[in-house]
Amino acid sequence: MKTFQQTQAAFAARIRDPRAHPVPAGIPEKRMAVYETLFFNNLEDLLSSNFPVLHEVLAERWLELVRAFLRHHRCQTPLFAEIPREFIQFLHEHAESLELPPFSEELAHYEWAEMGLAAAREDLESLRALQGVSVEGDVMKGVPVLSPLAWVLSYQWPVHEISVDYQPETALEQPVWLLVWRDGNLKVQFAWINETVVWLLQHLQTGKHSGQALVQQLAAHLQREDLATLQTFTRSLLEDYLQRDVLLGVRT
Amino acid sequence: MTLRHPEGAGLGFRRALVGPLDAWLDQHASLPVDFFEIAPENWLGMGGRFAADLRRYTERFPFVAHGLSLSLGGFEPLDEPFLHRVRRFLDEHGIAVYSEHLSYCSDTGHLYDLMPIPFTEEAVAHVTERILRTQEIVGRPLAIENVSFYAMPEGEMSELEFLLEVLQQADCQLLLDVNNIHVNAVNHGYDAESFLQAIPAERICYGHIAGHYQQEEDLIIDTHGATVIDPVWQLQQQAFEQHGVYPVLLERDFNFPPLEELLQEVAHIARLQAAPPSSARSGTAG
Repeated sequence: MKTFQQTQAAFAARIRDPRAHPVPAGIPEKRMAVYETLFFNNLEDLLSSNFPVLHEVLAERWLELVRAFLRHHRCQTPLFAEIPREFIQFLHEHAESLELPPFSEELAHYEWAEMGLAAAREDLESLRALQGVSVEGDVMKGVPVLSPLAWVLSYQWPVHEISVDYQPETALEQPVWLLVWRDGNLKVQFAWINETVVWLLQHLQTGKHSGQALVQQLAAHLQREDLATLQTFTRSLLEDYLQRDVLLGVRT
Repeated sequence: MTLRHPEGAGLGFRRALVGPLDAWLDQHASLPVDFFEIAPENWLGMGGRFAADLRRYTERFPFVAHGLSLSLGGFEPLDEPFLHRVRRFLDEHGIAVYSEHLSYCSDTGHLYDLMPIPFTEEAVAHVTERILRTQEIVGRPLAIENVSFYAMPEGEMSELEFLLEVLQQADCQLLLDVNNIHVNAVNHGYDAESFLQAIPAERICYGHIAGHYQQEEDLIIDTHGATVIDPVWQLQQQAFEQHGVYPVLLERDFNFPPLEELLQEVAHIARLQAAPPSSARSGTAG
């Protein structure tokens, strides 16, 4: 490393962790402090606007967490919108040493999902053309295809209920399931779903079964014989999902 | 898309401005902004409504791109895969001009803000090499910006000497920020007017003007969060008189006032550009 680069490294190290690194030679402490504050505050602003609930729940520990992120993590993305993902990765990698409330990682993921989906690159129209699906087809006769912009997420913690006043100490006995999707108006929608719907969505993901075939499989899975009821339920669910862009379309 | 070059008086395109700009365009036949500037790092890779918003404006207005994360002065290898993405992004939106800071913003990871490069000969050579490689990958000339800074690491030359040397060795263009000249003149006790005078006019590609926050008598923080102050407008006027008129845009990054107020500042840039040197007058916007 060249001399000027050693100076650069020392300068950056001081910004990351002023307690562990001296002010580089020749720089007034007061001016170095300007950088220390600016960089920290920039990062803190960005993270607290992306993770408002986690910020609020952690209260005074939040600043320690931001400092730990600045000190230990080396963000590799040049893109600002991807910093929250680096933060989630950091929470995951340091889950034990950070000693945060056990729901923190899932809460952060839940807070990120909306933005992650809002900014996703995929575009429904091009996907429909590419996959040769139609929004007109019959969901029972044809093969309903799940939109790549529809995510089925499960959480062990009631992430949607966590707040300053509600911070659970034990995980749920059964995970909660969340369907998040981006519709044709580019808006992100949320729906809590039950296990039967999860089962259907997971089987839709294979992109092979007609709505009719899914009903048969569902009946076998649930060990039920009232096919007509299941058929009505499945048809209305799939038609609703087609309408709301959870389904990309139907392959005929 | 055909490449478009900036002309006249522009404005920094921010996500927070899309709503107010849309509302303005709903009510008026036109928008008194000649061009916009975006940071590729804030828009590249974004789909959905963000991509749709940007597309609507790049189809209608000329844009320039002003990079934030390239770390021209950094010591890790240049992020070439990123530069290839930047090139595709610039092509997609018909953007002819790409600029970056004469600065560094990373060590072994990104820090997302600007740090001062020590002003040494070795640093000149290092930055020069990276500018040339950048231009090669993005297939466009790169304009480098004089940055504001609050502390000067030990070096061998002045900021001005460093800037001139890089411009000459890399044979590249300059994004001239008169606010940064003012900020540094106050922060480091040099004369803004003589700094400006020494700038080679033929290298100026376009310019920035912005507001800042004066924390102490001898310390200004370059926040882009306030209106432009009179001494900076005067410096801008002097720049046009000495170096000829060139495209300039207003940067505003937070603490946004109503759009009308920003447009008054953009109009002020346009007035300075239109005024014959002898009769040019300075003063606050509006």
